[in-house]
Amino acid sequence: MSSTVDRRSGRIGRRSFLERGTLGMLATVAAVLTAGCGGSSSPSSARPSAASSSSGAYVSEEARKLVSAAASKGETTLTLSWSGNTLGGVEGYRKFEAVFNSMYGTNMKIDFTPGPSMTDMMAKVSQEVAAGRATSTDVLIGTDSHYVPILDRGVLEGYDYATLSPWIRPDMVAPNQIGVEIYGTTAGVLYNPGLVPESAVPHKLADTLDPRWKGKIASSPDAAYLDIVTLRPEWGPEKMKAFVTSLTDQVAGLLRVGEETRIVSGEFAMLVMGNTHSVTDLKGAQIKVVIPTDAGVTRFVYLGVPRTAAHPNLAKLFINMILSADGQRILYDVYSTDHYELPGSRSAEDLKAQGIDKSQMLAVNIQLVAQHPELKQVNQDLSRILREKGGK
Amino acid sequence: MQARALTGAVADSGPAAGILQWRPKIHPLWALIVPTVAIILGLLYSVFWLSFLQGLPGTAQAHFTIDNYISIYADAFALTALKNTLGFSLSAVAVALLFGTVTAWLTERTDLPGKAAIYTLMTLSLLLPGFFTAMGWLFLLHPRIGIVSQWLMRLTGLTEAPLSITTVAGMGWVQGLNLASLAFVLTAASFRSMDPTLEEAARANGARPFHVVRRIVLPLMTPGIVAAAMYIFTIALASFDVPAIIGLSNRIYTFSTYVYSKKVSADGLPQYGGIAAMSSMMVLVAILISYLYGRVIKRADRYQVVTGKGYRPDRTRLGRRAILAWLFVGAYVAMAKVFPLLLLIWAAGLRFFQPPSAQAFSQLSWQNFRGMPLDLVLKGATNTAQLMIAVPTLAILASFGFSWMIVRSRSRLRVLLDFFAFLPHAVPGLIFGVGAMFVALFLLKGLPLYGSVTLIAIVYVVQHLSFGTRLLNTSLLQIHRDLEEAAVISGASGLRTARKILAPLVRPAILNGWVWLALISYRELTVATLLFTPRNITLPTVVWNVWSSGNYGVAAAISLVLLSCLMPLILIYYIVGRRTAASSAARGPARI
Repeated sequence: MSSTVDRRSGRIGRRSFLERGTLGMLATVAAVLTAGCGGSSSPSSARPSAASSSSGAYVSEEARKLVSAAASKGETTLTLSWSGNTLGGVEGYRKFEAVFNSMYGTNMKIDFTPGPSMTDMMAKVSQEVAAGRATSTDVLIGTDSHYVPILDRGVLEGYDYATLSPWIRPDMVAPNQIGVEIYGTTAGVLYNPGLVPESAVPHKLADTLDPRWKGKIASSPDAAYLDIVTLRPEWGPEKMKAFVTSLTDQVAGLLRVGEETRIVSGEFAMLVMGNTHSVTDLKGAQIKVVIPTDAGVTRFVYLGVPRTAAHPNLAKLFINMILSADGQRILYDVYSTDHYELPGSRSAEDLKAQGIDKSQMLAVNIQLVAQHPELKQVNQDLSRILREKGGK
Repeated sequence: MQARALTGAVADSGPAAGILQWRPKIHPLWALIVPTVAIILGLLYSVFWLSFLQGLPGTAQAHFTIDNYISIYADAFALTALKNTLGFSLSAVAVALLFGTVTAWLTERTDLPGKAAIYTLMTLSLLLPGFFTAMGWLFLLHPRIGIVSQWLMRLTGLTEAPLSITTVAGMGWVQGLNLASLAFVLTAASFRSMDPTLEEAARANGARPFHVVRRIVLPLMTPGIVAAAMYIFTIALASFDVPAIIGLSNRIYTFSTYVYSKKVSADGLPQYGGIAAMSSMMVLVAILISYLYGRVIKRADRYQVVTGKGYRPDRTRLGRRAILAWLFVGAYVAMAKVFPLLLLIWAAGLRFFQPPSAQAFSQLSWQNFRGMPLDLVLKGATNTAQLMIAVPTLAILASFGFSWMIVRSRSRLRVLLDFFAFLPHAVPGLIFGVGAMFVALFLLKGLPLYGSVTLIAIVYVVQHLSFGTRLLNTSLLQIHRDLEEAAVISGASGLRTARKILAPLVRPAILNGWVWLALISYRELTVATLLFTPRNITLPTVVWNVWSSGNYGVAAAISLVLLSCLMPLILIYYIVGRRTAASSAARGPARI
């Protein structure tokens, strides 16, 4: 949609304002009509009028305030740093930049630098905030395992993200309002179909203990997903530790996130466990994924703004943008995943196409993990077993 | 003897005292030494302080405790990692010395042609990322997918691969190939300066070439070889790329990957206290190695061969043995340079890294080159270029100050200075990086150090001080004092003696050291990754971050483009190498 936007000042022109006002009125009408149709109850804080979430051009009053605040503080560049492929890496940030500027009528630039893993970046940001320094990234990405330890440490700024847009539901906002869910990652066993015939594909975790896989399986140094699988009713910490102790005899090596191509090369026959969307990302390669029926979990990934971020207003607007319809579309295009609970989600379609019932999947978010403090010790124990070969 | 007596006489006379007995109130070289020692001590102290800390500095959770030491020393896994590290490092030393020292002897002491080409090829390996070499060897000798492993199993009918790269020795082999270039440069200078008199005497008495090498050359080269061995050992101790690619994915942990796995606590926060406690073991090793090296240096007079008396390095004629020599050098070049380069080219053409096959060939494309983040590469290149100029210049300056004081002066602090010069190298760079980060973040808040290229440069200079001092120590050791004594007796001032006598003789070592330190600065990864911020990202960090996110093809493409851009530097090195070879040849005819 064209607009009379002054791209130097970022101010929205009159014509664009009229268009947005019209959409806002339509959104209000739609909200009134759909108010009785279920969905999460609103918190006490006022929620913005809701247009259809497919309208990427909608900008709430709160978001416009952030745009003005960014302009007045001279925030013109958003500094982002995360592991190279996350959110599509270089390709992703260019597309997000275009959607951002189109949505808000700005001329913002994203300064993206591929950085270390989520864990290492969380550690870096934590110490930068503790030292009162501007952080290396204006937006911090992480899962529950990264956010739960810092819930009460004042690392991330608390902000009522639900006021930004109708597509940000209050239950998507992390405790203490330190972040928002932006997409889900589903766990699965990644395998090389050239080495694992269809008849031998593991449909339960215990199938990976088949002696034929001895010395051919990889796992991860941090026991990815295996800790949260213990929250499923079939498992529990002790049962999972026993499984991993047996699994470690099968394991030939440990792969970090991003090394899934070593399954493609045949160095390992399968990875227990990895991200299912990695397979979509590696389209055309010799790699497939199966979600074990007794280990179906989806873990949400969050974005939050560090307390000492140099460009906090742009950072919040970025988070809002990525959850818009256009933002989620770009996210799926560049990263093969999106938030499966948002309307129009293609991840939801993927799960349906694979015959996976979402209701059978355990959705793991910060709220759930915060209720299980024992998970920290479980993860440490599982990691130690995998790393140290069960202590033998 | 007369020269020594004269020196003694001169030394006793106050105003006529030469450079050796120059006792100004404060020797100018201390201006180089004192700040360097202060930085070394400051960083080490900050690490020692951190070793007693748990929790994040600057937060309410931070508290002092000895638990870091207890948990490290009581951890059987840590001891296993240290045992692996020892095996890995010793293997790397053996391989590096084998290829590096023999190649250095062939280049400097024989009439083997193509010396400049050998110098250039040895330099080339520093431009290739170490992790690509490691990946390449996985595809050669991995027990399941290794091409050579598969072939050997078919040939012998074995069900398991007879050779495997996924062992401590295998990792040491790869690391040794990477470090042979350093062994080459560290020993080549000594070979170049060695007086042929003793060799000639041995040959004149009927000694065969093998006996000459064993009874004359090797003993004379002992200080240089021992120094090179110690240096390479400590590099291997702290190296990360080969253990991360081969070891980590096969659950073989060394010190660096152990630290990597322990860097972040279960709280998701950095736990530098544990790492700092582990480093205390490394400091003890450093002290031991420094002591052993000091013992070798103490007996250095026995190895002095460059005197004021008709010094002309000689060359051994190889004759038909040159074919064997070329086979040896060729095999090393193929394994350590050609193969990784071919692998780099292969990876750059593929979207998904896979062994060569007909299907893989059909997937080759330019996609990775088109997808390179050029603005990021330019940013990294700018930062790296700054480091490549500043670090060798400052390191050589500081090293000269240390080396002169250690080798040429009679200061009572010589042993201590040598200890300080060598210590930073024996302490893993990761630890100095942690100390530097802590100091910049929390203590020197008023200075714009944190996240800057300057901070990385400071750590590099300290880290590479030992390389510079080893190079210059060896060079200065080979120069007998009688040259300077002669100048003093003739009335030259200390500064003139240094400028006219000493500087020309050590200039090759300085130039050589500068180029090598520039290349080492280009290649360094561990500290750059630790101190990484978007502002100070270096080229190796760009490549590593892209590589570790699974984009092997794009990482390979970036590496190839950089290699091409650095060709002018390689060309310069080739030209310098030819001139060095020419001047070596001019110093004396070859003799059998």
